[in-house]
Amino acid sequence: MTTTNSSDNLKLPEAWAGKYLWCFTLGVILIAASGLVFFVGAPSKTEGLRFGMHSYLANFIYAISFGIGGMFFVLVSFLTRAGWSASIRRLAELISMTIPWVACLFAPILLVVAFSKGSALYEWNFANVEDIKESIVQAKVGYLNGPFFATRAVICLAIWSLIVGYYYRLSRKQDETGDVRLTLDRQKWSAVLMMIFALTVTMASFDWIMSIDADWFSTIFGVYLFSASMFGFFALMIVSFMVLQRNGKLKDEVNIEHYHDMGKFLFGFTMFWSYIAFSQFLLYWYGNIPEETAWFRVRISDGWQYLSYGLIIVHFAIPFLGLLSRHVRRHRSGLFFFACWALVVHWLDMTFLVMPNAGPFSMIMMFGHMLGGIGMFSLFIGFLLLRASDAPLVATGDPRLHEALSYANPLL
Amino acid sequence: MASISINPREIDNTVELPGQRAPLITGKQTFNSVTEMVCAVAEKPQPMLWYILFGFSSLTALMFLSLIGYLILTGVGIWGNMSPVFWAWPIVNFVFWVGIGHAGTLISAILFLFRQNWRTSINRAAEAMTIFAVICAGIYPGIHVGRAWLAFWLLPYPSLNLWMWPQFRSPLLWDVFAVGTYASTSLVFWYMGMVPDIATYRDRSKTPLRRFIYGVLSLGWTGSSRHWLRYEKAYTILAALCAPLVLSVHTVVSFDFAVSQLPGWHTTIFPPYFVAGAIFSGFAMVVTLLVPVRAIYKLENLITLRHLENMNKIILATGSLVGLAYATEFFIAWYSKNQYEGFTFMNRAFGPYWWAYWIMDSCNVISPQLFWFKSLRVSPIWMVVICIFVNIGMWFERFVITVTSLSRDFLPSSWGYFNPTMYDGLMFFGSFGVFMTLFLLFCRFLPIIAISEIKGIMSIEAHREAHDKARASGGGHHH
Repeated sequence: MTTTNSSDNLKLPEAWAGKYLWCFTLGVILIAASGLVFFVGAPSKTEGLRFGMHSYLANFIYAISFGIGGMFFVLVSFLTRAGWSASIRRLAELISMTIPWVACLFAPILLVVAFSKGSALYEWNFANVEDIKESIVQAKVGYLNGPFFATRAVICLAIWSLIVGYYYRLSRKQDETGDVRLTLDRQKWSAVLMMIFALTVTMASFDWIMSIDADWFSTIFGVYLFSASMFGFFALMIVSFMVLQRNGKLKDEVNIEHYHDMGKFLFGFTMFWSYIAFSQFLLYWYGNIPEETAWFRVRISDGWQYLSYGLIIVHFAIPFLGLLSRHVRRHRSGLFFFACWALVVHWLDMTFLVMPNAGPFSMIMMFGHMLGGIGMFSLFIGFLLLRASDAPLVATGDPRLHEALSYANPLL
Repeated sequence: MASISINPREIDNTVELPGQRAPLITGKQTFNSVTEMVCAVAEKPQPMLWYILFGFSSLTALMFLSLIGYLILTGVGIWGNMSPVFWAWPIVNFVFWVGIGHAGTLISAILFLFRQNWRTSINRAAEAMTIFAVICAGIYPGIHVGRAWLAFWLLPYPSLNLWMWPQFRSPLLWDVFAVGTYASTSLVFWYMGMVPDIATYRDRSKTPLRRFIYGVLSLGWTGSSRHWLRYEKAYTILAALCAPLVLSVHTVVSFDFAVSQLPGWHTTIFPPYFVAGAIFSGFAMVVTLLVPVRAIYKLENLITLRHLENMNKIILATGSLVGLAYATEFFIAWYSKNQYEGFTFMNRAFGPYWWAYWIMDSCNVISPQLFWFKSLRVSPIWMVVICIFVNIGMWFERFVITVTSLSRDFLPSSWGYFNPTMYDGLMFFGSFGVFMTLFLLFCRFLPIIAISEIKGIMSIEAHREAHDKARASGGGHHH
């Protein structure tokens, strides 16, 4: 049990101290490089900005989706009074605590909305309503306009930051005091905050992603972003713990049972994501109404079809078959492989959601997008390292820690 | 037997201090006392109330069957179905009953996979309700096809006189597969879980007939460790197979509506929204029935307030999800600027069916919000009242979806207003008779609580208590 552990075991490896600066530098360089690729590679400056902004948005959603997943995991752990996750929850808290910082990366999008009138990113974003191409989008400017969009985004990001900040603060306080009332407080608020979570994630998905194609709509879109975020989040959890343990940390606090459970969740969200994505596609394909199928039309033409159809294989079939067996979920290398796989295909999924609306597929644009993606991920990792640098990696004061350290999975 | 007399309110197991776990069952039970309590339900003479209820519900069921006979002899014209509302109460009742049938498998499969041990006291009765609700649901499409004696045409088989297959592209056919798979898998899961308990009944039988019937049903169960090993494996695998089925059935039911182009039906949130609604109504039905059952059969120590409170929390969560789906639909109807969608939703709320819409909204979205108050979550009377409102609301939800959208065709000249006939009402009422008859027979003859599973968690709890004590006394615990 924990009593034998020195607190060194619960800290980031010594060698990682200050590494976040490397991550930030790399991130900024790669994002700048991706910008360069877009401006040099695109036929015109407008096109370059258009591709660049779409790419930036997709990568931003990728980075913040981990925080969204972490926030849900923390909330649901308290809502269900979970014991098994007490020893892995701190990492989820740290991941969710990247939200306030990742939120700052939304600023370029707001700047583009404010200063670059035109269809650089959102086709509703014109100074004059008459300039908007489609009349149906003109009719939406009451909701889709710069100031209101910015207000909603700021409120949404602020609410998330407050939620994760509150949970993290109480958790850190409990490290010192071990006071069970801190758990009771978080349990009490988890239900209300879960509802706010559902509303804000739905709103964010509609505003940030769905309104790119402003005449298109889908009521399931919020659930889609949620399922994708959870998929990415569990992959990140698994990879992070594996890397930490390889560096000699958390040897006793995270064991094969936790990996097994996180693997089950990764498998479950593979299926849930597929279920949601399939439902959305099937209903619009079957209805075959032009204004609804338009969104899929750009995704199955101009070179994007390889990505779209490919997702069925790489985001559903392969992780589904790979994680189906309990032997894989309990096998460190096997699980590590599929978690890394999931991190990549989650990025492809975010690409699928945003990029096809920028224009036809091209290798050079995709290369720029990839550079930006790696850059954004390393910024995210930098944030995470910075957050984790002064906190124990396990919520040592959690009254349910003993449950997490002593449970075993039944058969499955 | 002495432990049974302990007042269940002595320990409030709805309160749980972090770090400790409140007991799942109360009253210092032993393995023997649990067996005695559950077996008493079937072994002791039934209370007078059982006979009254059984008489009433079996007569109601009989009325239902007679009306089906009348329907088949006369035709579906006895219902209120009309142009343009061709789908009316039969579909509403079908979806209503399928929805009710969702809690059982969620409790037994998904809560099992999530290691929610509290499910053990309620899973058996909930699974039984699932089977009975699916039976009620299955009747409606069968008699709705008009020529009910040809209902087997729904099944794809190479027919020599028909020379055709069912329409594989129709979600109505997918329904046949989805509901059929769900019914058969749930039945196997329910029955298999019951085998050890039926063997207990067999061993305690006093008459040769009972011994024979329970003996056949228990499939030669001896309780050897080999039996248990196989049993646990099969149970786990079935749970894993059932888990996606919980989602797939109502997803396919939602496809019946959502693949069409009808405003109000054609929207992508339908699959998860229908699933949430189904779990919502299913749990409401479980609470509605288990509260009287635990009182009549004195099972308060096994089906504790904590079990009921947990279910009420799930009702609050799924009810709010349903509310979120309503809000999303309304928002997108406005956001899309699609005039047909916009009209449909305004028509629902303020058109001729406004009363149905507001019954639905207040019962489904507002009434479960009362479960924010713990005093209501743990009050048996209040929870039954709220849960009945929830099921009224869920029936109206299907009514609103089906009838309001159909009654306003794209052509105003085709608009209509649906009025149910006496037969619509009597047959819906009659289906409750079928459901209740089956449920009362289940209480009378089968183990309504999973005895063996409760004993399983009792040993886990005893182990944990030992841990807690060891920790409290300062010493570590090593295996």
